[in-house]
Amino acid sequence: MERAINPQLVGTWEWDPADKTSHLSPELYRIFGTDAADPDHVQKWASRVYPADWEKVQQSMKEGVDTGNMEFEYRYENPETGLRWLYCKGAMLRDGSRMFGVVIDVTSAKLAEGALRRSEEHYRAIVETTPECVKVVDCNGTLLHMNSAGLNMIGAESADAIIGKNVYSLIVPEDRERFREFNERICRGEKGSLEFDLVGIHGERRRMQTHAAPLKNADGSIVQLAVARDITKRDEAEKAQRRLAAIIESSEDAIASKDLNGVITSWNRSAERLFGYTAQEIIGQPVTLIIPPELHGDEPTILGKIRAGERIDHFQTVRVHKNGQLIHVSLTVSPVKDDKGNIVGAAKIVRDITRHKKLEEAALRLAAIVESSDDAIASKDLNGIITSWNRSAEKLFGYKAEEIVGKPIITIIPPELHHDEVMILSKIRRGEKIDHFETIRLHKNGERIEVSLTISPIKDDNGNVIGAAKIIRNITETNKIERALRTTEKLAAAGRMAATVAHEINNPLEAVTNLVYLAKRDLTKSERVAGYLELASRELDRVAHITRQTLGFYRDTSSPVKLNVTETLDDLLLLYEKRFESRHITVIKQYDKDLEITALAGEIRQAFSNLITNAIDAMPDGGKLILRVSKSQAWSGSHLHGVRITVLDTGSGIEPRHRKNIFQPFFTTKADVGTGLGLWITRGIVDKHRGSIRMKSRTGEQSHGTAFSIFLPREYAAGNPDTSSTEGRRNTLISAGGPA
Amino acid sequence: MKIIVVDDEPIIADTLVNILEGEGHDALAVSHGESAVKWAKMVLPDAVISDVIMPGMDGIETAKAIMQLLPNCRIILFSGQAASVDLLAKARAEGYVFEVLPKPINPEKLLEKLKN
Repeated sequence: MERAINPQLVGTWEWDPADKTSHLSPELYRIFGTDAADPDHVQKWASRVYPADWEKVQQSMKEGVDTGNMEFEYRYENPETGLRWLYCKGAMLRDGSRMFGVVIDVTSAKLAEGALRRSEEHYRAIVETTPECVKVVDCNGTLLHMNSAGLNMIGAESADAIIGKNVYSLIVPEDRERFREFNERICRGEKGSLEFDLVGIHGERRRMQTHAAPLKNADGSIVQLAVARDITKRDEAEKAQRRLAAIIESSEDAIASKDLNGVITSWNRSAERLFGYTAQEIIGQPVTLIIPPELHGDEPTILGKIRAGERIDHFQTVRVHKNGQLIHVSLTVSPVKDDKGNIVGAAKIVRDITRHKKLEEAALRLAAIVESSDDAIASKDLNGIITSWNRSAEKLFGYKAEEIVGKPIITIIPPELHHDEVMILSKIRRGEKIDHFETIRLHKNGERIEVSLTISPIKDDNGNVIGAAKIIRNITETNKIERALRTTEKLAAAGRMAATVAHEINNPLEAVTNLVYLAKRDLTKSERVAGYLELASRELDRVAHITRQTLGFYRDTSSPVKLNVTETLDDLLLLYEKRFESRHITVIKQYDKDLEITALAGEIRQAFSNLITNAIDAMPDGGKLILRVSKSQAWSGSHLHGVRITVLDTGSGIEPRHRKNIFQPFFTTKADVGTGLGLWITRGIVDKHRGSIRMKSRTGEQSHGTAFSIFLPREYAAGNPDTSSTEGRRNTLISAGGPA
Repeated sequence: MKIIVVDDEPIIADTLVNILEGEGHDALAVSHGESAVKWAKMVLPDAVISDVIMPGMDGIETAKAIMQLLPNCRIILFSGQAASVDLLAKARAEGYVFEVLPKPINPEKLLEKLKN
């Protein structure tokens, strides 16, 4: 190091070893701040030497005398100029007679040296404390220097372990060649930066970003000075951000963000699709662009919540497409915070629920249809547990939905049919449908219901069977009708046969009747034979009557004839004579004489017959059958003249709950013998004659019985020729009801 | 009175004739409509009793023919089967109204009817 010497501050001295006296130049006295005249100047000098250096001064001077050479520095407290650095050098003459030397005040040089050293230390400290890797590499890749941060990054214990080694081996193979080229380029004098991966001594991989500049080395060669930063974390964060961005971009949901003023700041592809605006055209626009005007008031509320740091979850509302169409959406809005946690905006996820809404509406519509269906509709899961139950099911089975949902379906299956359910469930599990399966189910009150089941598997979105839907149709009535129809068909067949048989029976009967008459007439001599013939003749009358009444009924309907009402009744009474006897029924006739009407004789007979047989059936333990025939006028007040026929029994009467049904087809209280058609046909016949029928019944302890009254006009004018369609219309008056 | 009885079953016609004769009538049995009309022209009966359903000319056609010949002749039809109803309805549509008795006829009632 060069030392600037101030000539003023160089003092000389000479010392005589023989008498140990010294001579000092005036400059030296100035340096020391002493006076030659002062006898104590040596003591003063000695006392002013910086105490820490005193020993070194003594030692150096003694060695100097011994060796003939001395050179040392020491600090000295000058009373005028303060602490000085002094440099002392001396040499002995060869003969040892004298020693000469100089003392130079080197304070300024010393200070300069210290500043330099301190500056160097300062830079070293900076380099050492920087968290980045600082290194110097020569053009061959040999590491000349590396700071501790760098050592740390590569996992080296100390600089010795790595300095002088080639750094290329620390670079991952895929980046190594690039790094080598980069290094050589820098060493040719260029500046540059590079990102590369390095693998530390212990295998830790880091992503590095380096900035390098050429540096002239002491030997004149150019080396690379590089500052490299570990960007592994930044890189990962960037990757994560890119990943997030990709997720947002590819999300099915529209994702957008806005600042606290409601200005849109981001807009993903689904948002473009959903709303029709591209990101380019909407970013920077107010979010109210996609909010229907009537809902603009919501936005401050939403922003207010966001400012308060609240999140809005699945808020269902309506937004507007660019083309003006309304979109049903579900919004989830969350506050967006900056690094410091300040809320700076909102991120919203917008889900299009238009389709969902439509599905929901469709589901509601379906539910309404199911609920209002006349058929009972229920569903169950694969364990046979009821999961739904519509109103008709409530009506059909008597169970309310709330009491049966969650219960096993076998609740409504009769015990002996429980195995049905096993079969049904196994079919359903296989995905099969069951069509019109006719079986029996149980009403809550224990009554058995004939039903037709149609059961279909219910599948989830993936096609897995998760349960069954069943439509249950009550076929009890249908079955009754079918049975009754079969009966009527049988009756019709019997009737057709009767017509054929009638001729075959009536002709021989005619002959026998005549023959018996002749035999009786010609055999008057024998009283007994005459008696027998008389009996035979009476029995023949009965046979004739029965064939006429039964076999003749069929189709004796085409032409109205004059009909004596009382005679017709008497004919019928004759037919039922035996039954009256066996049941102890007394017949009381209250007739106005010889009332005639024009009517369809066969049908009128049938109508009377139905009323009489009903009366007989109502009195299994005997009673009175009263027949009244009188002139009358129509009840309707139309002054239509005619005849009123009343058939009255003293039977048990008709229960009030049955009364309204008695004229309905297939309604019967006589399950064993009734077809449920009698009164319906009777009313049809009466209607056809433009007459009317009434019923009164009592079921009291003392007073009980039923009376049917028929009014028939005197003249026949065709009413409704089709008896089967006359259901409870026109002149049919029901004051109460009774069994058919 | 003079009565012609028409029935395709001779036993019916014959027994009826026997019964009527027993009451003093002058009766004649024939077994089909054509011969009834033929005999009616000759004997000029007071009454004709005829079955309705017969092979060839049926009772209604027979009755109509005789009514045209002898407007004052009484005609009583009798029938054992329902099909006769259709024939009667047809006749009524043409303006002929006939009295029909169901088979078997109680002979006493028949005789009674003839008296009125």
